[in-house]
Amino acid sequence: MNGLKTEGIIFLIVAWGIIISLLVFCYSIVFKNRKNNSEETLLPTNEPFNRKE
Amino acid sequence: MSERERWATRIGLILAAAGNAVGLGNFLRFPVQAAQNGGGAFMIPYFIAFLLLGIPLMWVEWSIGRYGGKYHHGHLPGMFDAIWRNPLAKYIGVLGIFVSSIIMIYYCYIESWTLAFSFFSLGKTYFGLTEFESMTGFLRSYQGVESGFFTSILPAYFFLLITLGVNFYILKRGISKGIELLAKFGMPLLIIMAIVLAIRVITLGTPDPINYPDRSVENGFAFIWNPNFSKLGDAKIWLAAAGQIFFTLSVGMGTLQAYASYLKEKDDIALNGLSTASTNEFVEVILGGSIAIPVAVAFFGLTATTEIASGGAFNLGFVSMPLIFQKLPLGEFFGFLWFFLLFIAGITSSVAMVQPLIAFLKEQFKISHNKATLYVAIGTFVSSHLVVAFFKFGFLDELDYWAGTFFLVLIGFLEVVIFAWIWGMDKGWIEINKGADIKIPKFFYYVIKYVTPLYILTILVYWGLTDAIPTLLMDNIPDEQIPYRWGARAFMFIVFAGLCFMVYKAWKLNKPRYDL
Repeated sequence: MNGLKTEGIIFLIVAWGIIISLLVFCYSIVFKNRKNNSEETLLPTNEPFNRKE
Repeated sequence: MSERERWATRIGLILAAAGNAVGLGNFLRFPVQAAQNGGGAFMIPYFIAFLLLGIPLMWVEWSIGRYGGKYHHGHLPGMFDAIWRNPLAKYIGVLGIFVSSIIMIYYCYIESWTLAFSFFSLGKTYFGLTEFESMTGFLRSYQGVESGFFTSILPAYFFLLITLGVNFYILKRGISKGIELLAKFGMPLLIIMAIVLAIRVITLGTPDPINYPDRSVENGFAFIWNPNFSKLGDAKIWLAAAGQIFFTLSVGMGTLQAYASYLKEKDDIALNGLSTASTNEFVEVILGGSIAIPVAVAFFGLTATTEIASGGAFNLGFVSMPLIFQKLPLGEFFGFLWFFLLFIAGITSSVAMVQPLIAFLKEQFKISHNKATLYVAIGTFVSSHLVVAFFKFGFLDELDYWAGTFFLVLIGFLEVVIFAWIWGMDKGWIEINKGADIKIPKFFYYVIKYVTPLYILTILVYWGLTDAIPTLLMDNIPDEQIPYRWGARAFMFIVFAGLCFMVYKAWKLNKPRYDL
């Protein structure tokens, strides 16, 4: 085998590009909405669910 | 209704779910699959499966989980019962507890090897064993398969105890203080270790340019990425890609649903599910694909690496890699990084595997979290003895084939059918989009309803036509293993029947109410 062919390089770049783009897209929104979520939707609790009401 | 545990932060939840998905397979199975199935061309069916199978199933599982959590169900029997309201539903859901519990029993044992080998690397225990045969002998004597470097199974047993102890200590601490905390530290640590290893591999170039100019990292990448388009016409490649997507995302196990059940009704699941999937793909394709195979080609050449890859993930991870570390400066450090990275990948997955059973005991039998964790720990500890004692007779392989392979696909099929066809895709679509931070294209409505079930059904039918009979009859299995493999099947049947009975009793004791 004589190293990466042009098609191999293209596949590698495209695959890595798709994944990194998806990752950046997701986490940019996650971090943008982090404050809202932690304040409004996610509770910092660790209460046992079956405690007496 | 009483308060349930919750995730403390959103990023903690995503990292925990990603930790559940990222496992040993990301670093060992993926590169082997890619190299064996057409290199770069494999990525075409791989990404198509990711789009049509992986992402839709992620959303389906997160939706089922969050919906079940509304009724305090952190387990698949309760979730299916809430969705379908049919007496059969909860028994189909038993598969979700059964599969994850069985996998936990043997997965912890493999996980304990990675912990042991990280210590062996630091202590240079295997240094000096420079041939494949001697390193294979080291691994096999550690596993108790043959006598050699280790005279008994005690070291393996010792590390298994530590691994189980750490797992259940984390689980005892609960969702936010245990699993979430582990993910918040473990996942960044795992990614940093993998990046360090990948950089080390990439900068190796051609280790011995005079004697072996063909043995280079570049040729390792070429082995994975140079496309072989002639293979695209082979149905097996498409199935291999679908299988890899299925297993790497940890769908069909009941664990993602359990994690999602600790969300509130209007918390986002669309973006969380996508973030989990993309994190897993980053670790698998970019990091996992840049370590084991490229370095193996650089040191052993293409022919030997092909043989190593065909020998399976354990050969690659526990035999080839230690041989390579001995040839590297600071090899003990890089050996430690590699095995400890696998340990972190393993533990973030294994803590998820018993969560459905713990949730089931807590919620349906109203016992405390500590008691539920203790009972599951005892059950796992006792059962793991079977795996250790009968490892050389294929006991673990038999459990892995059924629980870790076949049933995952079956559960995936059943849940997407229940979700899209029994509950109804219109309700399901509303559920997926409730509280969503991203707008999911309507295209996925049709994918979930038609394409994903057909895709999985194709896999199952293909399995039925090609593998079912020989596998059931144990063709190609050595005679001495057959009684033990039947024992493994009997063990799984007993566990499944026991769980069905527990579900029956649980519903008798506390019939869930859905009139909220």
